Amino acid sequence: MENKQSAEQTEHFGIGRTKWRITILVIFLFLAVLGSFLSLTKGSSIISIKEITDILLNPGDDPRSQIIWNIRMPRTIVGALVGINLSLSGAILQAIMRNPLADPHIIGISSGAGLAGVVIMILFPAMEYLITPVAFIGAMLAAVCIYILAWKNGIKPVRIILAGVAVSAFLGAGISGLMIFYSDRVHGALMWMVGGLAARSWPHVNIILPYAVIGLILALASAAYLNILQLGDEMARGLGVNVEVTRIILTAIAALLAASAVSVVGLLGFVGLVVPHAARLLIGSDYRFLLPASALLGIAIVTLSDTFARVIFAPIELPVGIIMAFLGAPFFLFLLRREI
Amino acid sequence: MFLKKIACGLLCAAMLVAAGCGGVGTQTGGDKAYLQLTDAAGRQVSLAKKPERVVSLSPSYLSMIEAVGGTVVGRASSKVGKIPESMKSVPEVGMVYNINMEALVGLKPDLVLASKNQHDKFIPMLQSNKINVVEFDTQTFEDVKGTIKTLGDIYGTQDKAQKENELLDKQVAAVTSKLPKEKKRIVIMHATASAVTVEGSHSIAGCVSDILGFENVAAAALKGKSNKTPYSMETLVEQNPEIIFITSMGKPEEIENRLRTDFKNNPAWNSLPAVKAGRVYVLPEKLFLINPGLRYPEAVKFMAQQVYPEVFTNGK
Repeated sequence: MENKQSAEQTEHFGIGRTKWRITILVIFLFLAVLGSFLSLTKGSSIISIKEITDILLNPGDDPRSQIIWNIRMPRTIVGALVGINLSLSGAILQAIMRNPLADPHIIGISSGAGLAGVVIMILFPAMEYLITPVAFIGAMLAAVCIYILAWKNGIKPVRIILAGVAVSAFLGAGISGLMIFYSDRVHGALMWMVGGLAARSWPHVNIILPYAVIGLILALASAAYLNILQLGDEMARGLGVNVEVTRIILTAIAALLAASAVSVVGLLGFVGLVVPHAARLLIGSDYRFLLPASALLGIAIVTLSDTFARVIFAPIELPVGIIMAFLGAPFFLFLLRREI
Repeated sequence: MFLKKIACGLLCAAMLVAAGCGGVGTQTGGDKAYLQLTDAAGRQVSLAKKPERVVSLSPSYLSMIEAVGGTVVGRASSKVGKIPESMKSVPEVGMVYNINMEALVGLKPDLVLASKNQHDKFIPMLQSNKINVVEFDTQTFEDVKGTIKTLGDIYGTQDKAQKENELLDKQVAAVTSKLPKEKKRIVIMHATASAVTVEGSHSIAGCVSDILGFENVAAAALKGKSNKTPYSMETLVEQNPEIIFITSMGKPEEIENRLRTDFKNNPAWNSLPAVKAGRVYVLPEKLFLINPGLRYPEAVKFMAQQVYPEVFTNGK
């Protein structure tokens, strides 16, 4: 956190701090809009922008209208919402754990949802319709479990992280075990582990939208608390914050955000870790700016990656998780090198 | 790959010379060995004498082995698929993917039948124990017939193998001859409503649909690629296949009901005319996910029956 202050005190390209932050927010907003726009206009079937405008104004019953309205549009929206939820979740967790490696994985969301999803896909394939609620329950159970395990006269972030690693390893063993004993059936499970947006449509939008909206409002409302928690428990207590309660509530918000995203699209882990960091490197650690910046960058990264995943080998599709890691990791390293 | 082969050949030749096997060089064994063959992985296998202790690492070979009159002293266990009655009591050597090498080597096999890709990792260990391995690939109908032929060669029952293959051909022809002469446009997808995965010709269902003369709309894009590939739903809507086949895991009836409602509630799937028309058929896992082996004609008939129920109403 020391270099936070120095980073904030320096002026960026001669622009004042607030101006710089607003500029970055505007750039992220532009990227988010660009990503959503490309996601809607590019795909394996070539439809011109003019045609898309016509279709959007006068929806019909022809295949192209179907493609735009029922395939591309909901997919873009699900992608954007997933981007928001995972980035916010990661940003919140990084503040309350005061650890740069904190992300939805660390509180067990991914492994919980992963195991629940794989159990459904491999053992009860006929009940696949339950995968979203079951994955959600699995994610939340794992998160609660980790929190309880880490509790010893209060919560220490380090204990949460270590409990998280242990529980994730435990659940991960379950996933691997199932995959080995049912080797004929692993394909669906693998796709779930990588995460993807194929075949996502309006019902999925309905599932994830309330969490995204409520989560975004709650997260923005608690930006001040997140700023204080970053200073350390002692300092936060001195400032009159009930650290334990705040941390539980914020962890719950982060868990709900991530669980809703992961239960719909599978284990898209990368967004939650990298997006908040990338945003932080550019905009600083003030959560009043960092939260909206993370949300916008999350939208941009998920929609752009998904568009890329759909177009690059069309009509063959890559799962978005793979593209995201391929494009995101080098970009992230670039930012990191530049900053240090 | 090519260099590797040359290197392998040179190494073999060198070893033969070193072992004092005689001065015939690379042609050694032509008249001495019991059997020489090139397996599905392109490996040259030479059996010095007729194998007596055979272990099958894939349960799907067992019925074919039985058909050519062969026996095994060990087999892999499997949660899915049928094991022939006579081979149920044979010692097991672990799960298909996770072979227990100690149990396997403990059976002192002189030949191990393995599945290409699935068992590649075990081969070096088997070779270091001086156990011969023959790998098979049994996705397509031709693969299955080739496997039966090779098994006949191994067990020295070529005539039985040939009869079995002729029978298979006849059974398949009995189905295809009844079909109307038209090219149905179809697509084969792997079951799950949450991913769009298509299968090409080098899969069991893909091969069966080729035998039936259907046109797989996704085949062009897949070419030689792996048999399960994520695919664009937009392109599917444009290509508009008349029929969707689903390769399933689990109980077909349950899955069919489930998928139908899943599809109905998902506007993206509903954009496919075949889904709207209800022309979605689930292919049972015992015939289309694990290799059907001798039941290939059954798989052919099953698929034909789904598309043309009227042709197959009377009797068989």
